[in-house]
Amino acid sequence: MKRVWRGWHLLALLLAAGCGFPEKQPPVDLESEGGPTAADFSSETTLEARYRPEVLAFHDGGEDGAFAGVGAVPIHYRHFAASPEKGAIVFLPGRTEPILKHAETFLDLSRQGYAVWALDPRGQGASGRMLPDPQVGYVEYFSDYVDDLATFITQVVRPRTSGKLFLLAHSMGAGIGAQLLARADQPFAAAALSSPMLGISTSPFPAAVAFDVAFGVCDASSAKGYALGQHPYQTESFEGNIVSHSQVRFALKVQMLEEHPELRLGGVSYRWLCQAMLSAGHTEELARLTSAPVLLLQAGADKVVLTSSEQRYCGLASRCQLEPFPDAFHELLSESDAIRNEALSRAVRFFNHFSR
Amino acid sequence: MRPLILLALILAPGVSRAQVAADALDLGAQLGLPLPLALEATGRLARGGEPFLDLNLRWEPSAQLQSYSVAVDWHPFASGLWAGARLRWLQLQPPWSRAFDGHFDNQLGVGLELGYRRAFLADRLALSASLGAAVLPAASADLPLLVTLNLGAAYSLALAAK
Repeated sequence: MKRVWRGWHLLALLLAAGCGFPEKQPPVDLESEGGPTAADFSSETTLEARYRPEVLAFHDGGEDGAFAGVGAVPIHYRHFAASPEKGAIVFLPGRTEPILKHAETFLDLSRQGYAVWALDPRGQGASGRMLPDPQVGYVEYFSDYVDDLATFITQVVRPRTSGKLFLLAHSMGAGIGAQLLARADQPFAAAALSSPMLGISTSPFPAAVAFDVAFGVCDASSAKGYALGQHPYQTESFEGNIVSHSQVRFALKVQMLEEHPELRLGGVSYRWLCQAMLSAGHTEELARLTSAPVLLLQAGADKVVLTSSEQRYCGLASRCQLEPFPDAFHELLSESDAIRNEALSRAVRFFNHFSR
Repeated sequence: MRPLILLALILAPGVSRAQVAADALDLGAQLGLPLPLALEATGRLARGGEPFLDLNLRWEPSAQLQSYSVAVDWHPFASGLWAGARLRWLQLQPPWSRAFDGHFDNQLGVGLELGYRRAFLADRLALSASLGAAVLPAASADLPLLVTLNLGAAYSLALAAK
């Protein structure tokens, strides 16, 4: 009996060793790292005046391109060179965001010596749509986003980049990035994930109710229509918004979508919702499979994605360090200067650390 | 071979009311949420002429989730009311899709369910309703509770006389 008991102990130890999470690595000390401070980045006080002559002019000087993604859907990207170049940053925006919205950030990163390769995920921005109605947020499989990103890097970015590759991604883009980071052949030296979509808030519905209703539709149909409560694009007002405290940056986003109606995107379809829920349902496993250094920039007052999922991911991924911004809304890279520029300065310091 | 046996059972001469079986095999279909359709076979064991224990095999194909499950259901009050436990093999993406990844998409689910079955037409036809909840305990999936609702109809084949 005693021998059998010892055998169970041995088996338990073997299982714990085989199934356990990798050992947590010490974080990068960003305070003593050196590098840019918040004051080195674009300021919202002068942004309105600088936007067309400086920011848009920089964006227009970028190089446009497209490649065929999964199912031959055309995927749009834009490249901004830097000279001299410390490395290249692959940028993915959040859902509904065209990369044009982040032109100010690309200019900031370029000034820090990083080339930027920005990608419009399928179904939004200037990339191809999969449905006749271009405003319905739709993806057939969430893995299509990840496969498009992998293709972008192997076919477009890598052949023209000799240095290290970094990932800066926001919200859904960061969720896509987190999936690629978990693959064995992931290409990044380090990644900064801003408010990553690792868990979706289904408020006001309990998660189980939202899951059941969404999957009821997805299981019975192709689920290409708007999900309950979703609708085509509507102009938002700054008052009462839940994504940014910066009135200037919010107004520039609205103005951009007025000038470029083709870039507008409405709410999500049931299909997108089901795929996003499934993708978010693997957060712990993604963390376990991720060994690349990750800086997770967390918006403390986020009402779009679940901060609890971010904490769980970062607690489990061996080289993830969490940088919380307690008062920030979801769109960290479009927030007020005190938040946005601090987040960017930490991301750049993090990249600098791994660019050597 | 099994379809032939089932066909033989279905085509067998009908039994009179006096010979109604206590133990039976039910073959049925269900409509449900979130899985819209189910095909199932239930072996029903009776005790003292009343329902006692069921063994249910269910296949729930759909455009998204796939579920293959087995349940053991107990009739605690010797009536149509039952409570049971179900073990599911769930596929979160359809196995024929390009997105299917066995590591992430093959999941085991365990759950409990409550139901009621009522027989009609000399115990040949049964209608049922059930409510269940399942969790996916594996570390590779942290999905919310899967709540299931099913309404079904089944045709009963006698297995043994009373």
